[in-house]
Amino acid sequence: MTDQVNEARRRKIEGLLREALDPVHLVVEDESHLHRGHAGAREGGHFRVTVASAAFEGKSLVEQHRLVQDRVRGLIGTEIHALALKTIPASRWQPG
Amino acid sequence: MTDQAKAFDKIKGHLAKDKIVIYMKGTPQAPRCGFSAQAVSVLNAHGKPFSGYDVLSDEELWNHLDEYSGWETFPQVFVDGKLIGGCDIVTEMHQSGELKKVIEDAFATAGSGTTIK
Repeated sequence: MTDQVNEARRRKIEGLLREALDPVHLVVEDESHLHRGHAGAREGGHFRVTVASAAFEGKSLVEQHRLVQDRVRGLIGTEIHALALKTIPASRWQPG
Repeated sequence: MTDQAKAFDKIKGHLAKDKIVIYMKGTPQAPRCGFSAQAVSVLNAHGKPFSGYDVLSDEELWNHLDEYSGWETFPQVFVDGKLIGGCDIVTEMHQSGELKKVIEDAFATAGSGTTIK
């Protein structure tokens, strides 16, 4: 899988989450290179998402992760093989 | 009985039998995915018994667990029948100390059986 393909996927994930969650902080990293060669890596990329949003306030971690997963559901199993997630309610986000 | 109903019965049976259940790729002894391995190592750190079920070798679980839990990815960790989360959440809760509390609360509850394997 070429890096360009995963970079396009990374941008797609970033765009979907930015639109849906109005994040105060959002970083989507492509970690596919760390997993090259293992079986699932052919199905899609490995990405790591760190996102802080007011949408997470008052929600359990399961609910917070679901909010993110629901936005990228259509990509899981095709363009996304694995998604590492760190969600932070906006009120608890500390830059730097 | 539909395939889904059969699978749900099987899952409910697992969750009634053990306080901590992990659905994973591979087995706790031989994980077949780094995220599943990570979740197992977190559970091992708590020293409480848990059962692991391999979704790769069980078609019913593979096809229907996500419909039961509303969670698309593996591993999935349940404590006291409730979905706690996947690898990231379990790791985060482990680091914050929250997982210890959840597990202790589950084992403090009288009643439902705890099986040590």
